[in-house]
Amino acid sequence: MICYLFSEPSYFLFTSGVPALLYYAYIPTTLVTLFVGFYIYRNGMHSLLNRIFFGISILFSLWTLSTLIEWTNIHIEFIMFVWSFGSIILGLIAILSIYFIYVFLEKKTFPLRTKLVLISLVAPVILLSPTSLHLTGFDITTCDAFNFEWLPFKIYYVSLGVMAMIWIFVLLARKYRTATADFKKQIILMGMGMEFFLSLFFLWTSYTYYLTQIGASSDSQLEMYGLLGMVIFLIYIGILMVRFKTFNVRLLGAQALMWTIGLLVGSAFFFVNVDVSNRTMYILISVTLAIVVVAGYTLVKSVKKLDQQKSHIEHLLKIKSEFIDVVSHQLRTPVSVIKGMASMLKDGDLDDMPKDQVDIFKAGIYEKSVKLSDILNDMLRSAEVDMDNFQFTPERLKVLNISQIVKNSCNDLITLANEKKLDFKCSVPVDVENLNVQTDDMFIGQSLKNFIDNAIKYSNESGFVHVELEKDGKFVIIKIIDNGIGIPPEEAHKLFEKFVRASNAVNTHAYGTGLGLFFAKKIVDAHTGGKVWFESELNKGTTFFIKLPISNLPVTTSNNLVKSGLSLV
Amino acid sequence: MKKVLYIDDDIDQLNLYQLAFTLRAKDKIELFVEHDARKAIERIRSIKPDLVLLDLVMRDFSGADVAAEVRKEADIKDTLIVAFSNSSTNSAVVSSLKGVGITNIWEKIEMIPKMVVERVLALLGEK
Repeated sequence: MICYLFSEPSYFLFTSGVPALLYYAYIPTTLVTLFVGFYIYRNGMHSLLNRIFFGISILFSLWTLSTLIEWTNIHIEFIMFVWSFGSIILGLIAILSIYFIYVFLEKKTFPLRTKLVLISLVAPVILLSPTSLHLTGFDITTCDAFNFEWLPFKIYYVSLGVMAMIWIFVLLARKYRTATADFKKQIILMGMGMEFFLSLFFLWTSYTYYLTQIGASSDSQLEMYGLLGMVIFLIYIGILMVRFKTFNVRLLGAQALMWTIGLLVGSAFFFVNVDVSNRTMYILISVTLAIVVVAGYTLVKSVKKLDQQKSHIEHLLKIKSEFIDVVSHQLRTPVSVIKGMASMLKDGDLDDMPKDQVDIFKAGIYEKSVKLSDILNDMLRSAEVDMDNFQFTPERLKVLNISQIVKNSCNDLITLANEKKLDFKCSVPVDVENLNVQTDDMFIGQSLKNFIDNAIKYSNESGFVHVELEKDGKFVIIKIIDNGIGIPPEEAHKLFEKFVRASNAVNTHAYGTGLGLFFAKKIVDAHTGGKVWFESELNKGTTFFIKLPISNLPVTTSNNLVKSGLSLV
Repeated sequence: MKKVLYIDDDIDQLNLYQLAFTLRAKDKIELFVEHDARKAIERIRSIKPDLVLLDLVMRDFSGADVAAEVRKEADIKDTLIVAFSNSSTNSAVVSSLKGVGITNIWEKIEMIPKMVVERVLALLGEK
């Protein structure tokens, strides 16, 4: 069926019967939204935040497209088909907006339960929208279905938008209280952008429809200003991208400038009359365009370089401040005890003390000195290997028996393991006993000890730490298995970074430089094909895997194995 | 006799100060020590100290957490707390401590036991 309000539109959309404002309001907004959506997606398709924004921009574009069709098309079946999808898109935009803000604030995905709640909220809209419960008829005289939408259904999906606005406000307000000054600014920008968008997007149509119904307004074009919400949102998103590097999009300003000037100059071709006398004009425009492209390319390249330098400096500054944090606490703690004890010795406070009291003091000074030298060694060793593609010094490379290195490392730590009453085992199967590895004898032992020491440190009392060796083709794999506190999944990716300690590690052990695993991994990586990885479950335990290449050369030095009561299977 | 509770997860530090307070203020101050931050609140509740010397970086429960908990309980919320730590005293740390009413922030490395005892006595009006 056809309603004869306008003539058949060309390309589904274009007709002279509708107000020109319709196209001006919808088409540029949709194009810009799609452009920004794609741009953000392309610049960080692995980031959840970027992907959700892309999703919102696609849904928004689908919605504007369907609304344009509703306005301009005259085929009733087609309009009704599109109409039923409008509400589904609105519902999805509402829940995606909440998800978007949550990820923006918390930098992680929603818990499964919340996801299920959101899906169940939007499910009725998806299920009922294509049915006659949603649309009961069509007004052929006005060519729309406004008066045939089931009111409770309409109220429900509009309420989803209102719910999203409230939910988002609560999320933002809660985070705002504890946010840093910089993040507070971002929260305000993002909050204002999103709330503007949602309020205009969800409520404007209902509001203008209401004004028309009560006779306060007869201007049907008023409805189109609702799209301004998206424009405002995009402006805020733009500020966030440029000012705060949200979405990790960089260089936007320079690239946008280059594209705009290029397009402006390029579009001039279309306005020049095809006339022989205008050939000069063609040449001029071509030359200008070429200059713009070359200059633009150079500009973007130099901005990119500056940007990289800037982020490198930011990274160094971050490491510096982390270093100061570590130094201020980890180094000062033993020093302050030694200083305090020494001051009392100096003042003669211990002169009349019983021997056992004095012994406690002596032991305290010794233990704190050991801790201090451990920390200093950690720092110096880490500084030595702290470079991209660290390689061993050739003169320190030796071919060593790997099972001996492992046994030595275990022996050095057996006292520590016994103190915690751990079931501590180092198992070397027969087929691995004679395998050699070309390595740095000082560094490899320390690297293994760091892994084992960590396993012991973060194991619960009476837990277990097992060190196992196995052959895997041309490699040997050392497994360090514990049933300790585990590594929080969200912190796993940065575990090997300098000065990084998992949050639960800090809670279990207040002391630690966050350099142990950084150093240990650098050493493993310096072997050709050397690799370290781990599997972990929170509160269940962790297994570190260290893969080293087997060397067929004969052993160049013998390791001195200190025999001990260690159980060797 | 005033009561002081010193909470720190470093046993050597506790030994040191226990001795210093015994030697220098035995008749004015009774010093209690606790190395397990999780038990801190319970100890404050039972001892009701006139002053708490509180380390900030501890395993399981930070000093700031302890202070925040103290301020929530009507019975002990007015306890005088002195932050005694080696963690960096940057403005963020200081303002968060001020938020829970801690204005005395002492750095361990800057002090020796003698000075700490004197300052505690001064704060408690015993000197």
